[in-house]
Amino acid sequence: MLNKIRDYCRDLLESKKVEGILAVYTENGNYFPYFFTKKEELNNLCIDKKYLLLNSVKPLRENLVFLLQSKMPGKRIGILARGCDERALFELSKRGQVNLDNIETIGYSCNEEQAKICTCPTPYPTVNLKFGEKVEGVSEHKRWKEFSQLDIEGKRKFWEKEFSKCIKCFGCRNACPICFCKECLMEDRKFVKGGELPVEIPSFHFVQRYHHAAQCISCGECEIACPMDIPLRLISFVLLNRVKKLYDYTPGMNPKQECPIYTIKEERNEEALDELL
Amino acid sequence: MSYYNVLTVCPYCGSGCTFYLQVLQGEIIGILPNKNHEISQGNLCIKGWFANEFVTHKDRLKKPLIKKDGNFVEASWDEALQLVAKKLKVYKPEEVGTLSSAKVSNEENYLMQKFTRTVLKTNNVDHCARLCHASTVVGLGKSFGSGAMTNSIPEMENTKCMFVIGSNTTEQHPMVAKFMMKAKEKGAKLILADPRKVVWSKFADIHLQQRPGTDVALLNGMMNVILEEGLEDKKFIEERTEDFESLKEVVKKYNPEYVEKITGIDKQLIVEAARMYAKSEASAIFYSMGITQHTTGVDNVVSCANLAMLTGNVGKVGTGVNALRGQVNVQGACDCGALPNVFSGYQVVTDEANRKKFEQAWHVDSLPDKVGLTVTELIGEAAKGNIKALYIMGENPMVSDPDLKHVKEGLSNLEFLVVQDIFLTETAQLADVVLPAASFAEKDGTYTTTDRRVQLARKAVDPPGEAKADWEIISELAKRMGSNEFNYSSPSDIMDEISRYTPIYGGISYERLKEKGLHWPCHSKDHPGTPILHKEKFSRGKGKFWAIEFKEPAELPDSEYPFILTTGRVIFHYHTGTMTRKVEILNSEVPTGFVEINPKDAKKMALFDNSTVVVSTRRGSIQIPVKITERVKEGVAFIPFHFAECAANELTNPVLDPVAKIPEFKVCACKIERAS
Amino acid sequence: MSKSEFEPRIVALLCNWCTYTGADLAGTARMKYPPNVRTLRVMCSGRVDPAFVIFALQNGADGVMIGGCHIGDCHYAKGNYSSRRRAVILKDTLESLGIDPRRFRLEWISASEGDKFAEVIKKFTKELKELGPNPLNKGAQDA
Ligand code: SF4
Ligand code: SF4
Ligand code: SF4
Ligand code: SF4
Ligand code: FES
Repeated sequence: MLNKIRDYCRDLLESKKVEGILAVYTENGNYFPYFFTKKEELNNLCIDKKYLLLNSVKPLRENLVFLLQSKMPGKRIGILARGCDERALFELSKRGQVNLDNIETIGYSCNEEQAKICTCPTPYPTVNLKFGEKVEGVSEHKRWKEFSQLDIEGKRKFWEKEFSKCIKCFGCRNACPICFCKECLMEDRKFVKGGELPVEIPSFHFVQRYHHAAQCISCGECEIACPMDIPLRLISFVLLNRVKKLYDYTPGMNPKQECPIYTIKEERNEEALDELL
Repeated sequence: MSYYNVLTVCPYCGSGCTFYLQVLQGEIIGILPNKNHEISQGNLCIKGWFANEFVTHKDRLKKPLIKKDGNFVEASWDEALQLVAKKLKVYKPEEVGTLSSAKVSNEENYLMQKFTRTVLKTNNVDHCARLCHASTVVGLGKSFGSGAMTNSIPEMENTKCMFVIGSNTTEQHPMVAKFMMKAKEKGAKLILADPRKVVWSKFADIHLQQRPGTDVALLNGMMNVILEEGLEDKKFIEERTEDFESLKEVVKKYNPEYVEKITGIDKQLIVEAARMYAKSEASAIFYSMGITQHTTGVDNVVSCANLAMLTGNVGKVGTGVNALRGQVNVQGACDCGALPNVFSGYQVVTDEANRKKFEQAWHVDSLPDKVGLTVTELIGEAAKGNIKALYIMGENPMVSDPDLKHVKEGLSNLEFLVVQDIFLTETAQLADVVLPAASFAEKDGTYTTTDRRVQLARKAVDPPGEAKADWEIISELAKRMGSNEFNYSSPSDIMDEISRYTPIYGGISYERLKEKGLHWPCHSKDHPGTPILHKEKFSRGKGKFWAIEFKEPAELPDSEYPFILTTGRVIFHYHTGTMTRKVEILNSEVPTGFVEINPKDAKKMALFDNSTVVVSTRRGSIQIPVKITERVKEGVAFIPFHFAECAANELTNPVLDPVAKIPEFKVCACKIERAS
Repeated sequence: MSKSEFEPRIVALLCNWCTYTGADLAGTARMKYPPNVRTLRVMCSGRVDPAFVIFALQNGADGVMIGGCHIGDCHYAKGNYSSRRRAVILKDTLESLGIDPRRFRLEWISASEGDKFAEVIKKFTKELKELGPNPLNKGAQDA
């Protein structure tokens, strides 16, 4: 697959269809995101190591793709996208964070091993899959069995312990492509006391989980960034499942479908929801 | 259009995380953690995540400054260096000194000591390791023959028992704490000895809240229990150590009852801790400033080493005596000879053969043979007028050193002070000449982590204005002072010289570091590096037991100064705050200093959270807000030292450990009064 | 503290146009309802950020209630639609975090329904008494 992708990218660059291609670069065993503009560089292009390309650059809090777009307005940018890159792209475009028009998405699928690392239910781009085959994703969090057996007090104790490990690095938020708020509630000193460890439980961790109830694109970056292995996405899985059941909505699947929590389009008959209250 | 990432080393703590600087069109826009790194594993602490913010801060020094009639005036490099060269030449070797820095690279530290020794012709070079781990260098040197962390960080995931004494690891070395937490999750035991209730306390199997400064008694007490119950590793003691009998003799009287009286720890806990440590398959000791920053710093370190040897917990995976070093390159600065008694690689200056070797290497007729002055002595001698000129690179003694009033006296008394830094620090403000330096993001260089891992940091952007890398500045200055030995075209050149003359760095080169770091000792080009020290035998041959008696700290509370004051750090800031206080999110987490006191004490004085108090000691007093918390015991007060406006070090006691010359930051007597 | 003497603290975030007036009515008409409730006026149930609920629960409330206009009556047309959608998700979030979702309610009470308000508070108080003190409340943990 690698060679095919390189050839394809070479064509894109040679034919000047795109200004450059955002992908992962490897050198001396290390790898990092890179904007390829010369075809000779494509020998260093790598597809087996993941860095989310749609990264929300901290501390700026702008998306990398947005920054690239604003540096070269009107120019076309290629993105060698995995499933999560595509999903992030769609969710961000709904919120005006990137402009889909000038993006050439070159989609490719991940393997099962990668899906395990990310705990990813959809390890491929659903719309722009160009290279590779769809493989089965992971639809259950690795600690779900243990967690789901707990009663309510057990769950509280579970989090009391897990959240006490938190060192307030903000990694979970910094690594998240969907976290781009200029004023983040996790930094609101009235809501979460500043300068204290352990952090206030549960407000600090509540924020991101709740905000992304219907936005989380299941890229796994928050848990990968967590030095303390806190299983934050146990909560996300519950919420995403609920949103899927109620509104048939999964973030990142369709760039046209609006987020049901924040946009109430039609006043549809939703009395059924009262049952859940 | 260009967007790329430059792999570099986090400029803060000694854990040694690496990360990428994201560069868009020649500008650093952000940070990405390195997913392909043994320690980082895609993680960073909050300081690392925002480490690019100070690099582009508007207050960066951009031009050399010369003080004229009490005001700084911008100058050209030519003028500034000419002035420094002229001035420094006036003094006799014993009248000048330099402070090197744990924040700059190995190459730059090496050059600073070379400059001091060959151009200034004195051994008066030191750096702030004196203030943190001088006791380690001496203590572990005495016991094992090498003054560095014995094991490596990632292997700690597989230890079975962790004994953490005098280290608030979660806050000071978050990425080391990560591996300890992993071990904990896998079932390892955690014994914590800390006078404060810290984040760890919740996870500790045993928490020993000793009275500050009584660590030797506690450690002797644990050894007493181990010997009483026959839990020592007889084979290890027999085969690998010496002088066991003398230790045995001394610890006899430290029975749990006696130790309880000294330390205030329940004797049963001491017994349990001793058993837990001795019985596990692999036990590791972790310590930091809570052990070293005492007048008995060396004693404390040696006692940790005793305990480890007694139970055979050295030289194996997941064991050892793990000194966690505070700053990014405090290990490297020591390795590269920025110390008054050794050349690079701990080759002592009093040894004629070593001097010969370096005389030949550096093409000089003779090198000074007298051990130079330490940081604290340099400042003391400056106050007395014996030291007349100082050249300080990347250090801020005006916040970091004990008894700041005295430091100010010393520095103000100098005839000539040069400070080389990235910001106009509290110290730089006192200087006659200020030289603008490049930050970590603006130069190549290697840094050595707390676990002896030499890592390569790469230049991402050019320094702001006319600022230059420290190695360039030193070389320039040396040339102007008549030396021909500073012709380097890049830091890589300097590393080649280091490896040529420093056996422990013998196999290290930029080429090899491109992929990943190497643990010293690494003697030759094909040596794989040494993650675990003292495997088959100790560096000094046999491990040596030292019989140590408990001594009280130099200053104890009395009726006038009833509180014990102890100092430390918080996770959100770093050292003197020069860098972290320029970062928005860190400032908003912790905007200024505070003094922690126990609710019971607060009640007695009718204090509320955030009310302002005056904390005073025999040295000075500061105004500071109160934080009421169970973290500290009754009678103990804690102040983080990062904040110049309420600097803990106005208060601390500059008494020194007799050998390591480390000041007693961790204990002094203070009083607390309501501010009027 | 035994459960019988435990008096729960309720924070009620009430819409200015309906429930707040309803509560007022309940008060002036001297309808009997337990004194456990602290009311706060908001301009619309849709104004309530779920973070407010967490904040209250973390800082001493045993239960939190949002009161809004009946569906179709919201002054801002869709405010209560979104508050309902959010409330459903919030309940799930609370439950996943180990906070009993019954500590949080969303109720539709119009300006004239003073009796309903009194009724709801009565029911809520009773339910919270059964649940006992909120374990997130630091004071409650020590007791
Ligand atoms: S989150 Fe899914 S799509 Fe993205 S890299 Fe991981 S497995 Fe692939
Ligand atoms: S919350 Fe976590 S999994 Fe979801 S989008 Fe953000 S980083 Fe990815
Ligand atoms: S946690 Fe919430 S407020 Fe903070 S950046 Fe993410 S989405 Fe925005
Ligand atoms: S990444 Fe983990 S440790 Fe860091 S703030 Fe998030 S939960 Fe806490
Ligand atoms: S105005 Fe009452 S709910 Fe919106």
